[in-house]
Amino acid sequence: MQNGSIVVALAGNPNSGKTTIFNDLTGMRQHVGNYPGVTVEKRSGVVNHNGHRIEIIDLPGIYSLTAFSEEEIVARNFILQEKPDVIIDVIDSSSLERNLYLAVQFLEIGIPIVLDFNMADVARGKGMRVDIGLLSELLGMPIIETVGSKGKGIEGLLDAVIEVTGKKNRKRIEIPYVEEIENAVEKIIPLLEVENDGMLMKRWFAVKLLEQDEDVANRLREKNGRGFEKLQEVVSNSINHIKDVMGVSPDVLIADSRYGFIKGALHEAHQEADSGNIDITEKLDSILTNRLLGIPIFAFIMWLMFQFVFTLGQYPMGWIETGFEKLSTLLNGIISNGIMRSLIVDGIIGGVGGVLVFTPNIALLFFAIALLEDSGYMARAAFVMDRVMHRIGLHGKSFIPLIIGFGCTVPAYMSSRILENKKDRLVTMHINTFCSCSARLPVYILLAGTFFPAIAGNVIFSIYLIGIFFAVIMAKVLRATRFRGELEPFVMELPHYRIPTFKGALIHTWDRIWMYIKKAGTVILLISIAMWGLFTFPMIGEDDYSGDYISQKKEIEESYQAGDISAESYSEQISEIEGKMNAEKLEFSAAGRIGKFIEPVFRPLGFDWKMVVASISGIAAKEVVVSSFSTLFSIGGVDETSESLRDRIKNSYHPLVGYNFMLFTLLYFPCMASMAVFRREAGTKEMLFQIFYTLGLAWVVCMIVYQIGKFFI
Amino acid sequence: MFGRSKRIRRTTGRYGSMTLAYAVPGKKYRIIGIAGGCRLSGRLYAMGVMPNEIFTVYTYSRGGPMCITLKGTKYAIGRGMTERIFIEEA
Ligand SMILES: Nc1nc2c(ncn2[C@@H]2O[C@H](COP(=O)(O)OP(=O)(O)OP(=O)(O)O)[C@@H](O)[C@H]2O)c(=O)[nH]1
Ligand SMILES: [Mg+2]
Repeated sequence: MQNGSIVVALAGNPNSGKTTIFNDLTGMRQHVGNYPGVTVEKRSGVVNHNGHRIEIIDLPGIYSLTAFSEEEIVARNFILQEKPDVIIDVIDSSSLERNLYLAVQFLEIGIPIVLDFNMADVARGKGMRVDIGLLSELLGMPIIETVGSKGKGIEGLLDAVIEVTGKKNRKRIEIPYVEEIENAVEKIIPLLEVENDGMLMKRWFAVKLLEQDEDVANRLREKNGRGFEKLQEVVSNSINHIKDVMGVSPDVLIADSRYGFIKGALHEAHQEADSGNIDITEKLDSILTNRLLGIPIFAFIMWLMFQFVFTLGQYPMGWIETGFEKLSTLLNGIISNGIMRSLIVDGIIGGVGGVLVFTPNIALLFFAIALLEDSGYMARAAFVMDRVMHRIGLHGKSFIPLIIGFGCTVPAYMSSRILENKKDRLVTMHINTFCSCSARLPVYILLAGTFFPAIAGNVIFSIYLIGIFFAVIMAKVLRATRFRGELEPFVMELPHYRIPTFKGALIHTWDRIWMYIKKAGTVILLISIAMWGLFTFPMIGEDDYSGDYISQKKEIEESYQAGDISAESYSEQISEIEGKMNAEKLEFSAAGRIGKFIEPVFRPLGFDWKMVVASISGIAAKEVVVSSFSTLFSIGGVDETSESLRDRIKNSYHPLVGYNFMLFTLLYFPCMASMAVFRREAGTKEMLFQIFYTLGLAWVVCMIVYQIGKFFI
Repeated sequence: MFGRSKRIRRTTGRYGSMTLAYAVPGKKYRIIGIAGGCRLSGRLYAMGVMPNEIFTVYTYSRGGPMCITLKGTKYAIGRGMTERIFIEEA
């Protein structure tokens, strides 16, 4: 108990509702989803209850105290090293026997436990009956029933926490093991040099050694020092002896005893459901995970998702666009100072507005992903894709981070923690960038809408498909070169389907949208202003133009006054000259010079310096590609003409180049923020590899596309 | 001929029985053992996939991943894993 507050860990099997309970307890809004492995990091929050300050820590789900994947290590280390005062073990009541397996292990390490029988509604719906009082007595732990998704039973949970912390001599139940195990445990205990502080008991260490838990062995190697060799010898002798006598290894016997203890308790206090009722999950699964239909259905769902995002998003997008255009026109009239006007209209409204326009699409995308996550389909997608993923040297579980990557690559990198094997994890992270994130969507919508207005939805979908294609290819390449190795076999629990709560999906969507808007108002605002500065300064002087445009303009003026040319031809000629002047003005600016300098590298791709500058600025965040484009074409536009941004872009490039630019945006690494996370998760070397190989790939692919495409245009 | 003998070796592993990869929907099976070392089997036990448990298969593709129901819980078992779980008809 640090400075008077009680530290409570929320632990339990994956997908049992820990984060839901955490949100109920603390009023926070951490991400909840219906598949195992949503939470991959610990999160803490505080609640005050009856004068006690309680610090709650939400942990990733675990099946046992032997950790396999990165996120399980987070949970296990918190429990074993930071030793919370109380563990609330969140249990899926509809699957008690398996969930209690972990509870029994908590019992053995001696930290006070409160059992939270969550999903009580589901259990009841299945017709299960539990005698809570009796079971609590048999297991020696208080039990509270809750329905996390409806916020029921939360108070009781807090009362129970305070009660167990106050209790001194708690009754401690020991799991009885078979005789051979008990004998071995007795032999091992005297050799252990760990302090028996009543928490991590020697008995638990001994049992773990017999289970051949590598992590516990390593821990003891440190603590026991020289005595460790003796200990190791005794342990391995015991294991061999048990194998000889019993014919199975100790871990099987230990697991059997634990399940035996649980079954014994449940036998008395629990009534199973009368089976035979139709299982909706199984019915749905027989279609959705069908051998033949599974993949086509998955592809259709993805297609539907992008159509939904693009088609439905178009209307509100149009309204916001019109709004910003009106605002620009209005401000153009009000602000008289040329530079100020350009900063506000071209730089800020062009840049930030250019990004905000896509808010509805981003909202729809995150809403769609939230539905996928909440319904339980996510885990099925992993299953369905297992066969495909196998061909490229990954397994189905890798698909979960990949799908999350369609929203944002940062949580996707985090989510790859659920992969148990380090190489699987690195390959998955390295290919995640090809699952095009939502920040790139604005680039596609802008360019596809500009160059291919009639079939924009399908063009965008094609970009996504190409992304998946490269994910597959690169996975295969990486697997064959840098990350060779055995494929880890996988087993995953499939959650029951659940009708997604509209409210939950909306809340999640709103959180993401708010992040997007905040980002537009901060990072993107700053970068837009900086980019505007780079596009504007140094300003071109009259002498710096390549031709004497001023006198040319004067001549035209004069001949018009004299009646030599018609009004039509007059304005045509004038705007032609102004167009030239604007182009030179931009090229004279800092950004123009940098772009011009690098342009030769990108010329084989068909890009001009503006595209180069937009791509470079996109390293900060992919949305900035759009904002830079908007600012560029806004500054470059001739004031009098009412050409829209789209028309200006359309008149500047061939559609092939437009498409190629989308490809380039798709293929190079996502953004600075994501690279920081990449570094934290995988190290500097891997991050640098990611940056350079994606840039190289993007360049090569786009070069080939342009060089071949050139012949057809 | 060689293909056949290879297949026999694969179906009958060290437990002298067939693997999950050859299970079909509509029948009940019992798990009798898991190959692949303590780490892997420990993992499966903790998830509730234990020797002596009875299960059914409900999505199946030869050589591919499978879905099974065991005590009301559904599991996706990846390809590769299906060859390490030894079973018999129950
Ligand atoms: N019916 C019902 N659903 C619930 C209940 N509690 C949580 N859920 C749902 O169960 C799913 C999993 O909830 P989470 O809170 O994300 O589970 P978790 O234990 O944090 O999962 P991981 O972080 O993946 O380990 C979500 O779809 C929740 O809406 C409940 O009491 N009843
Ligand atoms: Mg969670």
